[in-house]
Amino acid sequence: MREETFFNYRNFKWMWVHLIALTVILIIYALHDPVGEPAGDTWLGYFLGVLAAAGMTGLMWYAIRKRAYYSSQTTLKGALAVHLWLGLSLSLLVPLHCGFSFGMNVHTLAYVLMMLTILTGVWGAIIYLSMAKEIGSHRGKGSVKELLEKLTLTSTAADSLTLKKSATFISLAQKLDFNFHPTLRDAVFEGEILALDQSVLARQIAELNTDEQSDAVKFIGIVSRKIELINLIRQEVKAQFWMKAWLYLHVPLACLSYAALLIHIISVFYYR
Amino acid sequence: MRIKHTVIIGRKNGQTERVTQDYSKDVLVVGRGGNSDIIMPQNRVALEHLIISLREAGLGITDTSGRKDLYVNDALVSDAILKSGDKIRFGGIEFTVNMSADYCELVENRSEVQEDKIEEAATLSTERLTLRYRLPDFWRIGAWGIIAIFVIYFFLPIVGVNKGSWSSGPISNNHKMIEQDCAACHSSPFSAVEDKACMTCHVMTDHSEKLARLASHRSDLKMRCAECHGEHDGNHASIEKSAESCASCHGDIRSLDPEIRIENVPNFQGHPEFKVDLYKASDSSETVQKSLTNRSELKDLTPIKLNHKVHLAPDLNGPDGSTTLECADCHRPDPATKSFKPISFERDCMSCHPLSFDERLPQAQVPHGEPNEVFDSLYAQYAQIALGLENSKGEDDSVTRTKPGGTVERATSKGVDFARAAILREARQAERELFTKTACQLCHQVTELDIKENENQSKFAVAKPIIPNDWMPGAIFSHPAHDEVKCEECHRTDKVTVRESESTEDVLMSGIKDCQLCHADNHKAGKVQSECVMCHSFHDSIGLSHSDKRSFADLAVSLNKLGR
Repeated sequence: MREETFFNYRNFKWMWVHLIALTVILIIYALHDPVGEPAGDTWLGYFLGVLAAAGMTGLMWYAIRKRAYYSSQTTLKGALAVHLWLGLSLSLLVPLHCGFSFGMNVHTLAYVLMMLTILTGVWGAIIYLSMAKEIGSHRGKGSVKELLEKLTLTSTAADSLTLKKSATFISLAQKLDFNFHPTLRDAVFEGEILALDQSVLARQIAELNTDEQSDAVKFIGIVSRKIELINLIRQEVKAQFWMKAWLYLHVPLACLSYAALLIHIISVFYYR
Repeated sequence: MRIKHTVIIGRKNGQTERVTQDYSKDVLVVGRGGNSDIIMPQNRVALEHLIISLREAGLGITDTSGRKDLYVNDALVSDAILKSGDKIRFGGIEFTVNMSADYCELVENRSEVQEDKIEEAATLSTERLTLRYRLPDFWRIGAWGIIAIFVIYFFLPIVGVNKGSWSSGPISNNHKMIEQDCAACHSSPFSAVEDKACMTCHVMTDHSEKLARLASHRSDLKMRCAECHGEHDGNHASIEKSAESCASCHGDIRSLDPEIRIENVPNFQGHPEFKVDLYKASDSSETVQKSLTNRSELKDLTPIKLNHKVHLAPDLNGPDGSTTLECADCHRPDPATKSFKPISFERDCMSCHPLSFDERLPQAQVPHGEPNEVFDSLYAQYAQIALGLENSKGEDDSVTRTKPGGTVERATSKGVDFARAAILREARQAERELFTKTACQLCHQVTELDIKENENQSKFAVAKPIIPNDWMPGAIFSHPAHDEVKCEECHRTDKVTVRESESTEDVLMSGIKDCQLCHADNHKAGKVQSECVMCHSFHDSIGLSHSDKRSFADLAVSLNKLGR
């Protein structure tokens, strides 16, 4: 059975609720024949405006619900499902409210900001749905902090192996070893570090004194482990980056869009 | 010469501790690797970072890390000779060189507090890999955004900057001059645009007054200009035109007020039969509205006679020979009103009906005017003729022409009286012919007055006609828009068309059924969708009377009142 997410919550219950509501509204809109063009100031315009403003408030309420850890009225997954489908519905409800008339003004700005919020929300939903598996696969291998600690240990282990070794060994170790400074940019934009080329290494090991060869193999093993760890760290950091990055657009845009909504409401009633 | 490595440790309690390591070697390897002489565990140090060696020139230093990470006195070097006081920096570590005659000391300062910080930094390294470490909290960004958007789109418009951002759309072209003055129309906050704002510039004396009267005892019927005249909908003024709006009152208008006499009009299909303005009597200029429903009772009492049938017959005897008249030869279109210019005798009749009065004088005519003017003209023309004939014969010089600058010779009274009597006789005879036989009575109602022959005024009176030019003054009709339709299709009674009409009494106006052949409430019936305002104006007067018009100066005052 497929795992239930906020997307397919209760067999798309909230998707159907919103689709049906939108269909009813679309039928009313099609039958509505107002004086002049359809706009926000007809009875249907006001009704849909009130509905959309309530919807926006409901979407903002999710931020509170998300942090209400002891709420038992609703499940967080259910609340997120409503958040998703309600947000998507608003992208059609608002144009119906204004009769598809847009301009260079604060009213349309509110719509544009809302649409950007919705789009970043869709982006976030896609990230969550597509990364759910990936994040799960990292579990058990440790958090970034644990991985970093392991990395330090392997570095030290590598260092200790270079004690009292020949110049050839040191030069090989110098070539193989590297210092790793984990950065966010590398994790997000750089690819994985390639594993060591064992065939080349075998030749180089052969050139060493026989008493140093076993240490060299160990050293290479440690470096390989280090590369593995670094790649794991990068993957984890990258996943966490994308899971947060969209929020840096979604949340501020939601704030802006709600502020623009308030200004829209005040201004249309100020200059009736 | 020996090389010493001294670490000065600053403890947390403020004390310092000095640890010195002596090296009796000439070449020292410094690095993170276990093979190094001076082992530096720091992560940024290479396994074998640099070599310090005693040379002839002094103490030398060489970067062997391959990372280009060796600075002497902040200058990047790969190899250098050190002197006392030099500062060496690599892999995040700093040495100060302290030379004396028998040793060279590399002094490194370490601080426990600093090392704690390094430790903390290490634990922070996880944090540093998150966006949260790089960027402010997204709620904080949101809060700043809210402040910014309120400043730009709320407070600035309130104080008069960026006001356009509140406008829901472009204002109509005619109001562009007040586009920036929101308060010109929106005089008070949170209340709808009031009519007085419109009236600052516009003057209207019409339907809205009737409406205002109605609203004085039926407040629910109160209407604002803005209810029909929307704004912010683009360059073209938006005017409410839907029939439903009109029908919302006119559908059952009589129920609104018992004094209302006009009929209910639920829609175009239910529009009552047209009414035409007819004169109350032939001698009255007062009109009365009569419905075309009872056609048999309708008579145009205008005191004029015109036989349309005769005039529209082919091959009439025109001034230039045989001619066939078209309607437009007399009813001349007036582009300004989209109707017709009033009939004018001089323009429309005279070419066929010249007002000549004497066969002997084929060119001589009288004016188309008041009977006295006609009589005066006759008298004057006969007098001229009489004088001209006598002069040419030279038989009587008692009356002479006056030459400019010359003297007037007094005529003998006997000669003048004789001439005057002759002229009057001729004039009277011509007058009778004109008024009763050849001209006036053909079209006009002529009556003979009891006037003595020798009096200097006309013996006839003519009933003055006012030819109706606008049968339905309450309606707008565009003749050019109906150019393709033959005139007689609409201009007919229930019995005859205009081409067959012989009597001026015929009211040659068609009823609403003819309109309904092509026009309907909506285009769904395969007809022209026709709103009420296609034929009716909400405002009774289109345009203003001259006294209502303003000078530019007055309009400027109005605009100033609007705060400009």
